[in-house]
Amino acid sequence: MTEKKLPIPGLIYFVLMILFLYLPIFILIVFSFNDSVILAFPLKGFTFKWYEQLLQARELLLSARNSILVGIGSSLVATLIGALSAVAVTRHHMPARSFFLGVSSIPLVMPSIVLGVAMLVLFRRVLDLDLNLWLIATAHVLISIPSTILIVMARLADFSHNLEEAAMDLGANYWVTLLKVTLPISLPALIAAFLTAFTTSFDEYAMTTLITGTDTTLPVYLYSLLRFPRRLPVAVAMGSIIMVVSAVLVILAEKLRELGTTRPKKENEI
Amino acid sequence: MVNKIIEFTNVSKQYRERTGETVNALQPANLDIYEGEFFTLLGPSGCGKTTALRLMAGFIQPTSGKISIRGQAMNNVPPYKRPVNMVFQDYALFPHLNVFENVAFGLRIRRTHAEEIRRRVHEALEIVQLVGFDIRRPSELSGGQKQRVALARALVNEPAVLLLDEPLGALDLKLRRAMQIELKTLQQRVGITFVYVTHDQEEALTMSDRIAVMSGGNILQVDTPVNIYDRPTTRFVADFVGETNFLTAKIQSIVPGETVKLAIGSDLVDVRHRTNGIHAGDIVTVAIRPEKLALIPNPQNVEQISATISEITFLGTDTRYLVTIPSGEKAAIRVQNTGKNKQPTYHIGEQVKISYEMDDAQILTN
Repeated sequence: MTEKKLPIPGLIYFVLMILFLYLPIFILIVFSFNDSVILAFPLKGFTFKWYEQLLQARELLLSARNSILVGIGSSLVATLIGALSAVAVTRHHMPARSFFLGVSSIPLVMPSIVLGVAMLVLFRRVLDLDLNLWLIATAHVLISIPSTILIVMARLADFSHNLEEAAMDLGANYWVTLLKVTLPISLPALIAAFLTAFTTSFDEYAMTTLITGTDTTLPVYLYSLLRFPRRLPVAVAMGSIIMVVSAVLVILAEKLRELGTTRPKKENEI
Repeated sequence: MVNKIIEFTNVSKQYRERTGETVNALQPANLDIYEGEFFTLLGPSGCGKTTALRLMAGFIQPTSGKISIRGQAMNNVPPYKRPVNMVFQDYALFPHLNVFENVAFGLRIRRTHAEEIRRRVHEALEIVQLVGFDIRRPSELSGGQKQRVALARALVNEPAVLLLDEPLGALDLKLRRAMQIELKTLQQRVGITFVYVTHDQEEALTMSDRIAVMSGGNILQVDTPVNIYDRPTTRFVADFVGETNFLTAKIQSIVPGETVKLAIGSDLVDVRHRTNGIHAGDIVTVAIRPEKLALIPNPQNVEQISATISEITFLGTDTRYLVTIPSGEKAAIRVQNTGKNKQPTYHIGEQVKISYEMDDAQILTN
């Protein structure tokens, strides 16, 4: 972005940082193409067979699908609840405001293993429910809510309440204001909240493993694969795919955001 | 100035603090604002001027009393149903919309025809001299330009009253001066009633047809800029608007409607009788502007008070003298350095007489 040349120490720092962050990921991808069951150097040869086996691994693919469904579902609900709570907290005279905020951020500091045990007791002993994906999704909503509230709240606190008053002053009632001013301005935060919630759900292990019934999510399934060393390279291939897909998604989201900010150039019509 | 456009009848506003105590943001107030005038609410922060404005806009509801706009009761009418528009202190432009869409916002809500929206938005942008800025984002505009967009966004709806909450507060001094004149010209051109909130007395004097000076939730005086300056009724108004000397005086006698004889320092002087409710023997405060006091003892038709010069400050166009009268009170005098009739030079400690014309002093009510 800057035209200036990077100073040498800065450049070294940058390269080291990138290596530190991305070397493990890079190694993962390299081993996913390595023609050996044992994950160790020296590399044996190039192969696609782990990816071919992956396509045959029904249970692995099923758990990936479960993870995506649970992730999307729980993130949508968590984002909705988080956004509404954030509006209530920042825009209305809410009684017991700080109490509410404190209580809703408990899952953030509570070890998820403890939450898992609590949920297991609640679902099985108290409510006597069969463990299924719906319950996992519900539990994921719970642990995602603190971050969605905080993310949307930060955005709402960031833009002046005057904007909403200005909309009302110009003739918009409460709902039109919410739709035409509050939501569009908070959209980046809503997306960020959704993505954060999705990530939380997608890699949640400790709690999910405790409340898993017959169907399970990807992290729990991958961990169970460790008991079968011969299957490990398949898990590595799966990991590589997830890595690449998420990288593409992040880059796309960033591009979209950039487009969003420079869009006015075309809006000349009307 | 014929029809009342905004009418406050015993309007008050109380807030309940978190601690449970109530704060009187506006004491029961009566206020009439007439069609087509530039009306200013002037006062220091916390005086209730913004509360009054927000009551007009409908963002808050009065605790008691009645607000009418164009003869219609406005209590419990939400902001989006009132024939007023507001220009906010921080402009409150919608960051996700470009200039055109910001200005068009109100018209779109009212489902105006697209062709008419285009025409009216461009008219409004022309009025505020922002032709060609349609597709800029608010973040790409300077403070002054944002200000103009905010104005256009309000004016495009042709409101009965335009409410302005310290709209020039964030601009630098030079731009502020230019915008003051521009706003005043604009108001005269479009003929819309402006209700303007400011804490800047100079701004208020420059722009307004009438000013309401407020303090502590009370409206102290409503009058033209000239009368607010020359005939303040209270010490607060005299002090807040411009520089003033306050001299303690004892009333000797009153000729109703003519003159009041006062003892100031060691002298007996006359002041025009304009203040009600004062009696012989009362101790009162007299306000005299420094520029209305003179140092040259010119004994004809003027009132004189003996004094000693205690400070001389040369200010370029003026020289400011600080004198002490025998009672120990100090008074400031500004003498223009005209050069024509060369001022005699004075020095500190010199015994002099200060003089004023009878009409230029004002007895204040407590």
